[in-house]
Amino acid sequence: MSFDPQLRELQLVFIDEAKQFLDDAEETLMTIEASGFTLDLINKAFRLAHNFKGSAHSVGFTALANLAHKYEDILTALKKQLYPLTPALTSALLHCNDVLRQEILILKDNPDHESSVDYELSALDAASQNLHSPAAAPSAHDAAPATAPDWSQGFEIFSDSDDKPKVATPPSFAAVKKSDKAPPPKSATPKNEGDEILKVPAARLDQLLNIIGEMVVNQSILDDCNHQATLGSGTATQAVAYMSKLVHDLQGLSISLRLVPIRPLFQKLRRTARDVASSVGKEINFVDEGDYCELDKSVIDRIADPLNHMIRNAVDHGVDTPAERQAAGKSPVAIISLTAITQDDQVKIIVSDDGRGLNKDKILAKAVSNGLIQAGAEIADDDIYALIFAPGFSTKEQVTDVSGRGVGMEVVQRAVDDLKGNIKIQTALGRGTTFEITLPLSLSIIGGMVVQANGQRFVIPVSQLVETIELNKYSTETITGTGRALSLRGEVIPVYHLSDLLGRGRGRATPRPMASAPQLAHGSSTKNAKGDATLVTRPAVIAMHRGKKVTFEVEEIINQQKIVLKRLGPEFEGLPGIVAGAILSNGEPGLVLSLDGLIAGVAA
Amino acid sequence: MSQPNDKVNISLDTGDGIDDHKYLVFRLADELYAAALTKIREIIKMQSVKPVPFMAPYFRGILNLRGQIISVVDLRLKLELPCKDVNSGLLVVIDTANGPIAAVVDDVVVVHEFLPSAISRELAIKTKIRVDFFNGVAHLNDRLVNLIDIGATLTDGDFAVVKRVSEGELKRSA
Repeated sequence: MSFDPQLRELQLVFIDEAKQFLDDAEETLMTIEASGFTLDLINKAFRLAHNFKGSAHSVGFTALANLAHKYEDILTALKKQLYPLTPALTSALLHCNDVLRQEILILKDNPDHESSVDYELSALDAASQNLHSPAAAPSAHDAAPATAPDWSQGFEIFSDSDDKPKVATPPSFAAVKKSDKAPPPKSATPKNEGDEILKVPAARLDQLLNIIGEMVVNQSILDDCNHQATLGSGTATQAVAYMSKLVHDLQGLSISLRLVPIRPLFQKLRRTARDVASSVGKEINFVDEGDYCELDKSVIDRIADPLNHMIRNAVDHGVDTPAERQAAGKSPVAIISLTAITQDDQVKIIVSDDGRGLNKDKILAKAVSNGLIQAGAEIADDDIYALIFAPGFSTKEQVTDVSGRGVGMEVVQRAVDDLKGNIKIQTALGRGTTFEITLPLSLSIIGGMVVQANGQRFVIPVSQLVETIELNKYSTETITGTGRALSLRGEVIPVYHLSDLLGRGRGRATPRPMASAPQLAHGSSTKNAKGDATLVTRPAVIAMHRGKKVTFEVEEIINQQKIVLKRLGPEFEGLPGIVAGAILSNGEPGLVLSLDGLIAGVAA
Repeated sequence: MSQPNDKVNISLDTGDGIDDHKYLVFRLADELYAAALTKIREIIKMQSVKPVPFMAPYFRGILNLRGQIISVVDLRLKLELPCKDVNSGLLVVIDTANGPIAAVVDDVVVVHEFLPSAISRELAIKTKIRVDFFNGVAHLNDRLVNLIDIGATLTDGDFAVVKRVSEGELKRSA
């Protein structure tokens, strides 16, 4: 194929649209399966397939168009109610979706890739003809003889560039395993994030233009005042006040430009739950709520895999088998619910099942055998449950294909930490488990606590903090081997000095306070200088690290403010606990810390 | 915040549009150096630079350049030249492969055109610049100028001296 830049551009547009088509089609199929067959839904799926076919043809992706045509044929037959939409047929159609999606990913990077979908064509034929329907009349596109593949196994056959039609035989189990473990290198090409395209509702763009229009007008008023040296006048003051409102609006709006609904992710998770349940022989009812919630695109991208892990875990580990459920007097169909709730500038994502619940004793035994804790240690229930997030932890005796490689929950914890969120567990033996993930709506603006350490200001995201305390009010003691600890309301919490963690004395040029506590408060002009009587203060913040509280003593707590996160250059890579930069309210640059990252190397 | 008057009064805009052979000549510890003008974004007066923990000494810290956080590298220390008062000097903002980085120099001298024929690749004067960052020497009036690949010089090496806080160090200080 000769290179035609115009065609290539059209192809890229198609690829972008096609992803949406496929997501929508998949969603429609899943809805039909979950809530029953309606003509409306079939019509919707039909329209999607039809559009896909047309667009694919026009940009020269004939093979894809042919497959979409077959897809359309089946939907036509379904529409005419010539045969029912059986689970096997749904699986066949979903698989067809997957194949199209893979092909599109390959075509995105390699426009000359020649898709060969003969196998899928004949498979679709087989799936429909199996229903002994006259409507599945052979179309002009099918070439290979049709045999009935075993859809319940699920399989992955990737078409490659050679033109030899594959023989449509049911894939052997061995072949399935192989393709599972070694995905084709083609799809492994890293995608360039910069090319990402976001869909933004036109109304938001209009709003954006309105605000900017008003800002331009306001700016000219201010310029005028500046020229006439009337900057102190009422007009100018009013303009400045209005400007600050506009900037505030603009800030909110520009964040909302990056917000996308969580619905497509929920749809994918529904599919995961369905596939896993059928492969492990469990019956589930997947309930989702709040799929209209919006989250920053990058948050959604980064939470997708962890949520997928959690859903897999819930179906594979969390939910009991139908027999077990009946024995326990529960309905054989388990309920897995996925809920999103927006609260202020946070989103809660709740994954809940009514299955076995976490087994404390098993977790303890496992943690002891993995060396995570010592046998006979006194541990609070919440801390025991938190152990499942520890690296290399898995309680399922038998590692299954679906989940249970012992990395899942650790990955979840790490992703949630990266996103500056937190995760809570509620569980009751025999009644189920609920995971509640709280995430910031957007990654770019956070609530920050500005503190001083080594005579310098640092920002700690408020989401990491549990509380702030005055250390002088509590007793701290030195414990051999572990350093200092604080006794707070019956809890023993380790204490670190932030200045030590930030390498006190090893940097240079910073005037550093004395290493010995208690510390004198710096900056008498700030808020905590209440009077001379409280000259000696030892402020500290408490954060959670791997489900346990840790105290960080600081030189001073400056204030709490909204922080716009700024990305730091590659030269900051690998610095412990330094995750971003920020411009503080005094106009100076500051560093945003991850307390977790800072003590990862010291607190086991 | 940088105000417009932070700008240093030397014109980077040479007007004729052909900048390939134009260099910014600057002074470091009484030696003259030059960097390709195309790499230079702007020159600003020294301003408040906040140190960053765990970084090598030549990494002076970060500054707020109109809302963007920019790393500041002390070019004297980076090139192992004697260091002077940390509060003097100018900041030359360079476009590097890692994004903009501000380099601390003693002073900027002039924008000058060095044609390839006027540049000698031989190491005429003793210099600590790594050979692969050294683009040759040229004459400016009666003085020698070291031409350096400033982007590569600034981004070379490990910035961080500590990648992890070790437990031993913490206990000692606790």
